[in-house]
Amino acid sequence: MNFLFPIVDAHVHFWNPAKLNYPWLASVPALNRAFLPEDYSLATKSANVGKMIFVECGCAASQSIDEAKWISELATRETRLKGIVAQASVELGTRVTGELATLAKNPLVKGVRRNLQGETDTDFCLQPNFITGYRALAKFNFTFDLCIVHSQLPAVTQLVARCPEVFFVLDHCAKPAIRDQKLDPWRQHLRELAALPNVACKISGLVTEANPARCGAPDLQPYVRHALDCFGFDRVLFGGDWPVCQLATPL
Amino acid sequence: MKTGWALKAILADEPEANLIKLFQTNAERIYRV
Repeated sequence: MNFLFPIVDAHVHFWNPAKLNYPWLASVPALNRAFLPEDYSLATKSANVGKMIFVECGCAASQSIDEAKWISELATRETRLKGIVAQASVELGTRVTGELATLAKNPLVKGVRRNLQGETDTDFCLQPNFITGYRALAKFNFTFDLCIVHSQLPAVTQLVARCPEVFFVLDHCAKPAIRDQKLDPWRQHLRELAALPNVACKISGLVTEANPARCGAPDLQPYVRHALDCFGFDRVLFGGDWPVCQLATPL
Repeated sequence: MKTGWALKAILADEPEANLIKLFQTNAERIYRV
């Protein structure tokens, strides 16, 4: 995107199956190889990216510290890499504190994520240990990225309400059903979440939720406009979701 | 990145100040970078 100002890509992934174990990659052959900063630079050469935020990539939970360390090593040669949203097992409750304390020693770690989108119990994130784990984030000034699908919005709204001391970032607008061209009940649920002050919305990953033949601006517009209407321009941020976005489009 | 290109097209008439918030300063503030 050739803006006159450098943009921040707030949602970038890098992974290397030769270094860490990513269990989910086996089922996505198109992404089952290393994706590194050099590849990102090539894919985004027409965009004026000034800074980027790495978001954890679903490696084995036991490797979360190793992932953050490896990304920090990459940041020494890709200096636009300014922040890390690391993986953390917040469902461990008070026992996640040690993992958070180790991550906090890395100045690039700004927040954490524990991917929720694959959980079939929509109230999974409301278990007592989860709430305890989320509340521990405030001590380290970590944000929490919420990666969910739209059906999980009501539970996540309860979660955000119960943790006012934590700032949440909703990834991918909660993955609305763009492919089916459905807006409801996502519209109402998103508005209810946006009524809470401690959450922002990342406008990212929308192309992979759309029909590949219909993932252009006209198809995304109702979803983008609604997210902006709910959160306002002070609580939205852009993320490219590379390389996952390549499932829908070369860029 | 195509979401970004679509965003730019959808928001073509928005004031630049709003685009700067969306594409730059909000992320810098939220993630402290």
